[in-house]
Amino acid sequence: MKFSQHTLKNGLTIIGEQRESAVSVALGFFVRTGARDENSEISGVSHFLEHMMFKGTSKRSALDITYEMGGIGAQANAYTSEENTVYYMAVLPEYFKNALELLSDMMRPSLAQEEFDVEKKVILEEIALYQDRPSFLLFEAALKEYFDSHPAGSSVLGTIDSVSALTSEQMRAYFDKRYTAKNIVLTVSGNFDWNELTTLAEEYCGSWPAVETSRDTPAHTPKEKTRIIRKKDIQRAHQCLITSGPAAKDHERYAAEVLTCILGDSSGSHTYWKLIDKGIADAASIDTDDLDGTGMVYGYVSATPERIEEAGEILAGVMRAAKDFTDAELERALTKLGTRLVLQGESSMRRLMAIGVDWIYRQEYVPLKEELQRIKAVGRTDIASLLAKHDLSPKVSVTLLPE
Amino acid sequence: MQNFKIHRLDNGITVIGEVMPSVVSAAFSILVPLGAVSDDSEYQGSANILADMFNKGAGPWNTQELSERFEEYGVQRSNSSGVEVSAFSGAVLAENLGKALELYATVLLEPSLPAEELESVRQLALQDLRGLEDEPASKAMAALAELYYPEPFGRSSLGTEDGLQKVTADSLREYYETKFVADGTIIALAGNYDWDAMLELIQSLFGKWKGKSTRQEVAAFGDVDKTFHIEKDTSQVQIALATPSVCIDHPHYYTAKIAAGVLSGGMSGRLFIEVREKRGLVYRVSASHSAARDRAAMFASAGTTPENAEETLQVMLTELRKLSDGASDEELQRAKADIKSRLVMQSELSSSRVNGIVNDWFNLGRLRTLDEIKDGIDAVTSSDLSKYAEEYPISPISLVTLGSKPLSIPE
Repeated sequence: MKFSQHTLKNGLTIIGEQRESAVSVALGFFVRTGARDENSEISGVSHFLEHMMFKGTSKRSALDITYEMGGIGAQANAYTSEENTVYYMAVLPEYFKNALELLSDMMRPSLAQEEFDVEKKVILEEIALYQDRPSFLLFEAALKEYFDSHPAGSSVLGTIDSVSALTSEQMRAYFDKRYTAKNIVLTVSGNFDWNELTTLAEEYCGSWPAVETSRDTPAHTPKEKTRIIRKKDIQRAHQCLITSGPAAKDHERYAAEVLTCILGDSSGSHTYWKLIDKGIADAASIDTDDLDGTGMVYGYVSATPERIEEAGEILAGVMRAAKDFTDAELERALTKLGTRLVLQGESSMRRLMAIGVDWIYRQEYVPLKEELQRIKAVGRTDIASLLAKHDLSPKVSVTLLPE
Repeated sequence: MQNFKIHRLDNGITVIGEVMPSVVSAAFSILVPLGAVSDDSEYQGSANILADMFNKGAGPWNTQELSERFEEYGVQRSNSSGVEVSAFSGAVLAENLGKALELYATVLLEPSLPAEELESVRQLALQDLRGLEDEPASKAMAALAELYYPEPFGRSSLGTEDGLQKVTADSLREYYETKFVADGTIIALAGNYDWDAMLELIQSLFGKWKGKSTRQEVAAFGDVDKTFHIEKDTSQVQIALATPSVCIDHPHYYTAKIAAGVLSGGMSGRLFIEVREKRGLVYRVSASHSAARDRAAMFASAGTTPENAEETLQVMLTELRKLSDGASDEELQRAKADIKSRLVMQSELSSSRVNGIVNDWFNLGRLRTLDEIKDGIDAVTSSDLSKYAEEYPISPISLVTLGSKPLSIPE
């Protein structure tokens, strides 16, 4: 695997990881913008805009875009999170140029009023779809409680009211401010030619404006809160516990990854033995989410409404007793995470996501081997220093019960 | 060029493999012909409970020790039970494949099936079944399978409330001893490994396993012109429908794949364009062709708010029926490009390849190369599509709706 990096005059960064044995190439634009960069008046605009990028440019209609993607067999999609918006495609190597030209053109959308009006209906359907998913409602409410007015807790989808009220002018203004060359990283992984990539990127993206853009990353001090929410016509109950964890730039994130694997992986972890193996909960996990300037560790459990309180207490107990694990458990977690990492390395698309996110948060490239070494190097002292900063005792607890 | 291996053991197990020198991983799948259709009708859910009970100790190990053995070798694995088969599959760094197979031999041939663990496994299975009620799209598809396929092939792999309650340690032990058999089992490997060494290992590990299976034949389809509504207080109405189509060894098989591609391939399928892109009626709409050895369906589904529900169903039906007019060259080319590019991209992943070969062997009794599949896809023409649509004219239809508003197929 060979890594290269280049920055165009307008500030657009290009990174590429070449793997000649790959049968495909994956490419993506990683934009450092998301729900946290909105204010409440335009809540949901990042995600709505992500949809609009597929709806036409000065050169192409919406149908042209989808038909062209189909014509080259592109496996394309996009996602929006609180912090990033990512547009990506995987194609066979012979279609690399077509794919790059198409995806680059899409990044300059026309945001036509007619398309905006139709797509708004699609977004409202998407909000309705998620209203029917209990675990989604739970996480959204839990993030709101944990982050309070901190931007990292902003809703990605927005609300029916905020999306209904959005205008295409507001979206245009947001786009002009956030989608500047300096705020975007073009990432490519798999079978491609680096020189061809930089030449084409200059041609396709060289004229994008180089406006400065910024983001507030205030520190966050969570308060202790407990809340119960209810939903009609559901069978299971769910609980989410959140506490602070390392941020994306903190080296402790490796210790957090290993520790949450020991405590809350889907199998063989503390939550598995204490909750799932015993038949108390049908799902239980603990994960870490490192964000821009802040981070969290969260636990999740679902059980019958009768047992959710008991299950939640056991989950909280596992988080509070985070330092109690054996050397053998640590060893097994390292093996597990190492194997996962290597297996993921065989897919161009998964490597694309890994190196794109590394760059957008840390402006660093970590080869697979180096990443593996960093995980394998995690020991008890690293976990102890993580716990000295973040003791994993839950701060926020939100429970979803049947109405 | 793909490197396929096939070897039949005396006890009826078929070992199949694809060797992939460019990867560092190896994936495996052990497919045992025991699933929801194998369950006694009073004890539906036995296969589901059994798949989970295999985690509860085997050979010299209790539950926890067994889990630790797998984790020491970094085996990423899952046990699952389906309609016709139970699958024990996973992926490892290639050098650990032998260890993973050794562990699974102990799990499958010497399971403890401890009576004291049954209750917790039953509770989890019941929670999964009840949890389906909270997942509108999955619930609608499960109800559609039950409506459309002849019993017992429409059963949910989760089992039934009554069946799960009835299973006892004794009934499960008997089920395991009579129905969990070597005959008809497929052990599939894909990745970077030494075939001869693995075959010898499998022979020594699984060669002693016994038992004769009888594969259940699917009954003739009855009238599938049926409608079923599930009343639920949800924001969206789920629409799910099924109509007859061709099985995996039928000459029109690839035509049916293309038909599904024209309707729903990537973002350029007709359903996506007409229902979502032009009218904004839904976020999610799709069609797919599902084919096994002896049963098949063209499925289509969508989720939409109640006020858009009738129009959504109407436009879906219009687009499905338009298949009889064939498709333009561009549409055919797009559907083919989508299928072929996914095929090639998956070919570099050992876990995708192992699924490809194990499904081929189970449903077709032979392995198809990627080239054979590509050629089959490339050969489909617009007139094939019209002929297919004439023989399978999107009628009769089984329809399931879930939500606050029942729908029916308009005359």
